[in-house]
Amino acid sequence: MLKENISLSQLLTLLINFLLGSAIVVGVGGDAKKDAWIAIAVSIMFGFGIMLFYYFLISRVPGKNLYELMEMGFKRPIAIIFSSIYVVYFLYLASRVVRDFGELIASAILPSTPIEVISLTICLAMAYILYLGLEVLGRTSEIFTPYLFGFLFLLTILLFASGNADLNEIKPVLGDGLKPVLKALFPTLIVFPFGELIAFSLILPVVTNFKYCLRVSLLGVAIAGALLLFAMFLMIVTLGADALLRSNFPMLSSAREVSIGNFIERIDALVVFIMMLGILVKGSVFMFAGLKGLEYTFRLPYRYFSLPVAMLVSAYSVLISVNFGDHWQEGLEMVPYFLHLPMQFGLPSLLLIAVLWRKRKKKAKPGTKGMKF
Amino acid sequence: MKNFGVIAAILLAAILLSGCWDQRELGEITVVTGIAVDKGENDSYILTVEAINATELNNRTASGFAPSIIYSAEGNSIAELIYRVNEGISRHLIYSHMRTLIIGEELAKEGIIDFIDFLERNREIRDDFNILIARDSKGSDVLKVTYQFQKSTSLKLHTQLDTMMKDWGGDPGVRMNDVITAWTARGRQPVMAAVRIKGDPEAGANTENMMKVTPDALVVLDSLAIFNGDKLVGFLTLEDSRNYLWIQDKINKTSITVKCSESRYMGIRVYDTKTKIKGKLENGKADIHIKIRAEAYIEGAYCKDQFVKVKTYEENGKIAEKQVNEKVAETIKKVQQEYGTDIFGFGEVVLRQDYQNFNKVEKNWDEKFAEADIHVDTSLNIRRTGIRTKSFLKEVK
Repeated sequence: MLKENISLSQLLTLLINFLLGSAIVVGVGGDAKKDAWIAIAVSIMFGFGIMLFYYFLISRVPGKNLYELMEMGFKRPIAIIFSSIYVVYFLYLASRVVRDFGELIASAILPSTPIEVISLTICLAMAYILYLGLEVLGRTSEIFTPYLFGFLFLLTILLFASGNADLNEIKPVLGDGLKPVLKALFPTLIVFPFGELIAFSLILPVVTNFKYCLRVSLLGVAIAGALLLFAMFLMIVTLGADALLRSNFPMLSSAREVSIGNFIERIDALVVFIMMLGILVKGSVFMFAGLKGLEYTFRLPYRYFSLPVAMLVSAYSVLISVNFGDHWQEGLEMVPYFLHLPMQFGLPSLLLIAVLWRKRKKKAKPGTKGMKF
Repeated sequence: MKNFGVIAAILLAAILLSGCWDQRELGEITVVTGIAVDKGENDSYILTVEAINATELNNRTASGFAPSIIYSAEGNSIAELIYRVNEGISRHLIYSHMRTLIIGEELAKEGIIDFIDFLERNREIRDDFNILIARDSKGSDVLKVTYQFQKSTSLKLHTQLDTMMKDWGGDPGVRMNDVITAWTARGRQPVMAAVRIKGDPEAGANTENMMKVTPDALVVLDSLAIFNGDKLVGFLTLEDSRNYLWIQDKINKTSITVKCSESRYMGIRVYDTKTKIKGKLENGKADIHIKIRAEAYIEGAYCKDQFVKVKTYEENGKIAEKQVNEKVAETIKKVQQEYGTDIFGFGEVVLRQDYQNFNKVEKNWDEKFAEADIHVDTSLNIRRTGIRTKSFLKEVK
């Protein structure tokens, strides 16, 4: 198996695009209505905590990823069971992300194009990227990230210049108290998008300069969080809280508002680019995380699986839900509780305890049989 | 085997790159510039679309045919009707460049909320078109009236309302999303501009109407339609409409006529205005303070004043201020007393500035609005007087 390395700047851009990914497509923190931006601001703090937790887990044994840690913590048979669960989890999330994108395109951009074709094309691109390896993914996201910033900046200027942004919309700040903010925060906003950083437990170990890894990761969370916060703020002041909650894709709706002198109009394409980049990176990272699990289980290079798995993801992205409401409800009511919470915090905590215990045992009784994992 | 891969890649690329299902050539489409919705005779709605004939809009290619074709279809949902109109129109209709939506008065009185949902939900229709009420007539009749310059009524109205709003401010500048925001916002009711056909609607629906110096029929901006929920409740005058804009801080420039002495008036051009509203609830009574700040210059003075001294500027400014205060307060009073529907969004202001108290009275806010204390405070500065100081009038008379 080839040793892969990605640089710190690539890690940074991967993190930013990953966190923006589908969160910017569907909008987060809607429960808090006008105060959604406050909820996001608070959730960044939790994002730091979550990142620290995963970093702490990974840095116990340098160079080992989540699955290898599991082997260390629980022995191989159990590790294989757990990693299979994780593989399904990651691939399911990848399908969800692809579905988000498919729904966006099918309902707002190309209504007569079958969603299957949209899923298939983006999955083919992901398969190709992953076949070439994580390094290519890193470089792809590194190259495109400046455009993301540029377009977001342009969108802001255009929205304010066309007079659509009304800062009064955010008032009254915290009118209903902290309750709605907390409701938005637990657990939806914590598990999505920040909790999904669990996928980075497979990327962190391959970063060249592991020493600075933590700093860069935290910086990535901070930048992505700030962008999310800013995007949410922008959407609230342009659309107002009511229209925001009614939009399936609030960012797209706010971009449609832009009209300067009947000339600069219909800049939806900028937003679709931002979303597509996020989806591409996020989907690929999840798929990579899943592929790594297959690599661990079958002891074959993960590239071999990339095309078949991508095709599975593409098929499942269509099959996971019968309609948009199903997709939406599943994502808001089921996934955070039954998937995210145990997979993001339950199992990793268990793993951390197991790893720490093994390490202690190893330290206490050097040379005994029990230490060989 | 290597060749097989290349061929497979080419075939795949040919499939993937061939384009999307949604592609449409320019020659296969007709652009819709305006639609009108009226109350149906048997079903709920009659939808009328105005599909333009692009060659007629271009002066070089125009050959004197009608600039657009207007067709109506009747049914219970607009969503279906926008495709049904193809029973009379040949090409695929594109709604994304729609400029105006005209709603017949009869329908507006019964409530319009249900079909607006379609307009918001549809991906193609953007929400920045003018939304108008056809006063005393059907929306479809308004669409049919031709006009010399823009030829089609919907394009004409779009330009006209824009110009009007920029220069004087009779059009409330309401787009569809403003109407929806007003419905969903707590403490605000929507308004719309109302238009009327001046002249004979029958004669207006004719290309000959475009050839006359005084057209047989002309669509004029008539008044401000005000709503309670989704029901049309009444009309205010254009003057009120301007005052409405002023309160909303949406006015760009306007001209006011100030009575400076008995049966003598002066015209003042007002620019650069800013309005701030403060509102709170005191002992269950709403207390609204409107602060208007404006700059102005004299455009025509028929009074004896000679604008050479600071004092003259100030005195005239005071007179104008007083008049603006009165007129604006009058408009608000009229709405409070006659309709009791909060079109100015004072509820929204109170909500933002006094949230806890507003929550208590939200249910009967319209009553609170009707008895609210309104204070208007204008400060108007006359900065200059055109390119003359003294008027020749004094020497003549």
